[in-house]
Amino acid sequence: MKKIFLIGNPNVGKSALFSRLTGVHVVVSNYPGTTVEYSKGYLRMNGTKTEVIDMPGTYSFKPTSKAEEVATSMMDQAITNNDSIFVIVIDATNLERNLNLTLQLLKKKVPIIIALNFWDETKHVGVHIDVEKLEKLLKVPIISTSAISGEGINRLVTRLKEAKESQFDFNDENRWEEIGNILSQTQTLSHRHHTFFERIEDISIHPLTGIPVAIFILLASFTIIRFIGESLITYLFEPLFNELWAPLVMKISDFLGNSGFLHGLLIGKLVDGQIEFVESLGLLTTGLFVPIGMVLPYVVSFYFALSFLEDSGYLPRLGVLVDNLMHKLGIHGLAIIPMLLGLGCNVPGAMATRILETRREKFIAATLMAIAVPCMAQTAMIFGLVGSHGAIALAAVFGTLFLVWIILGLILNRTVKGESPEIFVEIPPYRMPYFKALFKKLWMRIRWFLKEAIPYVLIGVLIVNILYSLGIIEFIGGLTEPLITGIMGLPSDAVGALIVGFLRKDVAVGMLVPLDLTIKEMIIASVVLTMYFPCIATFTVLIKELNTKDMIKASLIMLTSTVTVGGLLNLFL
Amino acid sequence: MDIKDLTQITSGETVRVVEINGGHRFREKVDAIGLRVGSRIIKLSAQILRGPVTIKIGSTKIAIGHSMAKKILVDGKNT
Repeated sequence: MKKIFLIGNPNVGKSALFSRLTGVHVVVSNYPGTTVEYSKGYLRMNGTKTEVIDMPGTYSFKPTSKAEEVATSMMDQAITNNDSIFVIVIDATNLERNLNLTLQLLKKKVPIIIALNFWDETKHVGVHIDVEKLEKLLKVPIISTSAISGEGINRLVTRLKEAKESQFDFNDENRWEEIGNILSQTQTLSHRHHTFFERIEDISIHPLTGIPVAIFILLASFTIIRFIGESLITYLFEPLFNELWAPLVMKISDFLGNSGFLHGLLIGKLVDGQIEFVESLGLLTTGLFVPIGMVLPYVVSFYFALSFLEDSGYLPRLGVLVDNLMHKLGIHGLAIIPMLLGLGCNVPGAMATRILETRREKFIAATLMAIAVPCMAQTAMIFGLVGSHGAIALAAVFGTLFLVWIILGLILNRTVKGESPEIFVEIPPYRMPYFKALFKKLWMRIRWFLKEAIPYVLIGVLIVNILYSLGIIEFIGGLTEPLITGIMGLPSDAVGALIVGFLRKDVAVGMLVPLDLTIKEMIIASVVLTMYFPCIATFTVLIKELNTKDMIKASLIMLTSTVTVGGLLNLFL
Repeated sequence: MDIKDLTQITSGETVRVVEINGGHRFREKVDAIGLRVGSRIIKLSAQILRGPVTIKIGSTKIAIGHSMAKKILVDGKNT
């Protein structure tokens, strides 16, 4: 046995089980040639290390989405290699639907063991399953588990070696009849009371109460994000940078003689003989402070809130509620997920467009996200810098972006050819997130941010320094003056920020600080910086996710809408 | 028999599916989730302005678009 595959329907607690089986070291990789992610980790037992792969959730092996395609082809590959066992993860409270995939897999003649997950919940919902009988019928080992409490996990691990090909024979044509047959022999249902979660479920999807609930949840999330982010900055990152890092960097600055080429590169400009972390533009000052001191705290708090919403089962409900609005933009309600992820970072947002089926939907969703959804790095900086001019200035920036999102969506819906299928989504029951898995995911996202952001920030700061010292920024500034100053009303110095914006939006916003912009210029610059181009990392993912031709189209839309919106803001503000 | 499509019945009603129209892909998709001719389903809610319809099959809840719901014919009298 070389590999263990976890396979099952979506929302069966597969990730929590994965978390239980594997240690801390988990790698999230992309399936070759796609942006579909899967997690890989290792199970240690009796001194051996076995690879565990968490496959994307799927309802059947007749794939209807990219994620299901990947699940199917991963499995075919594993069957060809003949070196793996499959752990089918079943939601015990939902046996009938889960048996559909199980029976299809039993036909494949691969070593199988079944984890009957959410076992503890069966008692609450009045489902009784005769596990022994089910095991006899399906002719593979079945272990009842509760990934969240940990019940049954040890038994699952010790019985892994018993995984075997099923000799269960049935005609695939009559699969559902066969399932009915199995159910009648193994499952009994009893009356039970509604749980607390079930009661709030109805409220959150009913049209009258659902929208107020959604607004409340989003506002609450926003408040929590700000609270955690601000607390981290005030009590951790600011003291760290001001009390510990600044004196150290000052010493380096003195050592370098407070000026010169190397000083400019590492420390940057001193403002009144002191380091200004946002303005100095040195690798050790701005290069580290912007990603770690200003953006990271919000990345942590944003992903904490988002992971909680994801794992609780709320997001599909939100998708259903906003489906109507999104339909007018040519995408269905679930496209709210790439948008929400994009608020954290446009890169995972772009990857999440894979949950949409057609090229048209992906194109519209990716374009709208890349143009009008600012990432957390940029939002944090805009809050820090524009926020000092008051809430109205902030409302102007984000209100404009929201309007652009709607209007551009309406236009794209009318002009882009192709088909947009309707929403089709399972509404999972509300569940309390399994915090160990949640923090593991949070940690992976933070690690990914640090790995991606810091190099780009440093390269960005480096390039700006070089371009400034060679006079290239002034030159481009002069060339683009008619566009930037003439139409959008920004000083030509702002071109430096726009150039850096290709690499990192947060540093770019920071570069506006020393320009002493008016509120109006600040608002226009923030909007323009969001819209004109996604950062290079997002751009690369989008090329892969869409294709070069669609990406060129999207880029043209970005440029024209940026100039239009920048010009309009300049006229009317 | 009292045949209607899923958009025409009121929320809270329990009905039996008598026909699923639409393409092969659509029928395969709903089959995978356990929705097929003969299934007993409950309509849970419908969003306003031709929004998605939420139904319950067994213990699975799914939301489907308005025109998908139109393709699913049910018998309100025979549950």
